[in-house]
Amino acid sequence: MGAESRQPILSLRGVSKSYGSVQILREIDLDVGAGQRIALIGPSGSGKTTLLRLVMTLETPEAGTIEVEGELLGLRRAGDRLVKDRGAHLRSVRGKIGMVFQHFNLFPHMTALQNIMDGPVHVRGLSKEKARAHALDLLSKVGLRQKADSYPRQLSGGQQQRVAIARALAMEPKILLFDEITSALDPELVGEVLTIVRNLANETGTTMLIVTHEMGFAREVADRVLFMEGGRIVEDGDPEQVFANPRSERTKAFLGAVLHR
Amino acid sequence: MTLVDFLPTLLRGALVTLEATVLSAAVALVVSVVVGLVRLSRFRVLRGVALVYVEVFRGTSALVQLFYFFFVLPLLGIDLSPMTAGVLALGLNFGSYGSEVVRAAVLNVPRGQHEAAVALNYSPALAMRRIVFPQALAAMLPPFGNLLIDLLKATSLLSLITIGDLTFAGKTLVQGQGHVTEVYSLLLVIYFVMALALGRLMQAAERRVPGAVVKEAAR
Amino acid sequence: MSFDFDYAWQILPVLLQATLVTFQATLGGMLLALVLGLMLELLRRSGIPPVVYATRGAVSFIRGTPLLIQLYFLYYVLPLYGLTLNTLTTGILGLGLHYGAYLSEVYRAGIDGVPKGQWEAAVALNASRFHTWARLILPQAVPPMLPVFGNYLIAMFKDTPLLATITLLELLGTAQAEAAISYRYLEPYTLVGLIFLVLSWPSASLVRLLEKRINAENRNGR
Repeated sequence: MGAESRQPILSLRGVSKSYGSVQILREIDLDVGAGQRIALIGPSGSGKTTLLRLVMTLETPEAGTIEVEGELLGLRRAGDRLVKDRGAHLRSVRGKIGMVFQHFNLFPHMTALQNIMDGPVHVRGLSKEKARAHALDLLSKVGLRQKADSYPRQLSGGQQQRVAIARALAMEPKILLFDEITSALDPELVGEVLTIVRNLANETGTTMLIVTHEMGFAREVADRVLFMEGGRIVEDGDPEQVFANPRSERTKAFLGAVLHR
Repeated sequence: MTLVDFLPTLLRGALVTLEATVLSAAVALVVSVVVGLVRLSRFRVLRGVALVYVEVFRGTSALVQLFYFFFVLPLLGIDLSPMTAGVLALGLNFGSYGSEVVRAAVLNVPRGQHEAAVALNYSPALAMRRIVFPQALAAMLPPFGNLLIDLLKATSLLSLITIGDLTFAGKTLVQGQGHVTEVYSLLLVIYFVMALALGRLMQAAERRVPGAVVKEAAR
Repeated sequence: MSFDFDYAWQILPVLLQATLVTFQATLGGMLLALVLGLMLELLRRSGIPPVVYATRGAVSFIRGTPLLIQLYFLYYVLPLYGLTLNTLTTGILGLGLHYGAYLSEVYRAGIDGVPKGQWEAAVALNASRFHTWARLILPQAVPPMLPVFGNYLIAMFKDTPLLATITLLELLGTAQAEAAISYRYLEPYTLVGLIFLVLSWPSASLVRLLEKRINAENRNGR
């Protein structure tokens, strides 16, 4: 769709990761085009979350490289070797990526507004007034303007997650990672969070990688679906094809188990 | 002489005790935070140095350290007043225990907080300053409160290096005036009152910090 | 001023012998504290209001006052009322009382840590008071207390120099005596510090290991 003519915004080559003796990711190759909405589905332990965490530099790959807009992420060249990247250079690349977590991870000692403002002020150097205005705007977008001065413990799970999304957005990332953001929520709160993400997909051009168990949502929001199992990407296609006509037997089996509960 | 006549002398000594407590606490606080954080540093050499300091000052007796600072340092060319020597020794001693409190509190901040900081592109130093340390602070206060009361009691050792604290005043009174039972009983009571007051103060301080768990039971 | 190794070597035997006195004081003090601590905690749980309040008051008072003054009190005041003990006994008494108050809190936490269900099971089994405590409660309460006891033992060990102020010739007292004769402070006090360090650092590591093992056992289900 023209993505081949442009550089992928995110590129994984031969990325592997294991924990002790368990191999979680096996030589993953993946190109993500700018603006794509990718849903990552698959059974537990398939490596979906690990993949996200590697992109967010929360973990380091054992093998392989990750590039963001052509630049190495988490690594830099030292002569002919690749060494761990740190400091300002790491952050210059990493700053293009944001993440929303399953357990929200809001800062408990700050209000909702402060949670959203802190990064822009202290990491990006924005003035307090600008950051405040932007933060209030984002809070309105997620429908929580009136909770600006509430602390996380005073908010429901769904509200906390919406604040977390606003907080991630405040840093204006080019790539947003969503790690099972509704899995820790009571069922009746899931909808409000998914609505926000849906609106995000419709209104912005941010590249999104969404690990989720909500198949209906994945089908609706994504323009590309990856099915992972055993540390490999088993199926890669558009939602219609993957959900309606999966090519792989394992995809069929997984969907069969998940969709007909 | 009656109990009432002893009070002025003893209270003067108590003031010195409080002064020594405050000064030692200040030293201990700074040492605790610096060493506690250095123990978590990326650099193995720094961590090693901090570890040695902690083990040496925790592993030897406070009184031995006091005597060392008072008797031995001058021989090595470092001339300090008794109060300075005492405050430094107690500060370094309690700083080693305090550093463990800091370290444990920082390690107890949930991993998700560190990960959120990474996701928002905080540098490690910024994450510590704005996210991790403020949350660790709440957990540090109760143990620090206990250490402070222990420090108050430890200042009694300063009497042994010629500092005119409450214990010194008591001993002097006994040597001059007798009334052993009364004087030592008074000493115990005055220390107890100071310890209780300090305890209440710490509880009030804990209430001010968001997220701190305030123990209501008196020590 | 440089370190006189010959002198240090010369006084080392005397200091090592004094360490035995330190050990005696520590062990005696710890045994007394273990017994007193348990007694204090059982008294606190007795349910008889005056006893409970008196015990809580005593524990609070002992913990809230310096060990040094408590030692002075025992050493100087007791003889006035007819009770003259030798310095080692006084020292053990002082350490035992002081740490007994602290250990009573350890017993409290340990006993509180035993799940309520165990007490109910004891009632259901019609176990006697003694049986409940000796065979059911204490065996479960004690393991987590052991590392804490270990740490207090090490703390008591490091508090023994205070006994020098009531003229006990333990490690520090002996070093002081040596320094008074030779006018050299560097070697005696350095040796004392080293001896304490050599004895307490590995002990502290052992206690940490013990703690890890007990926590691991707890996680695997008791």
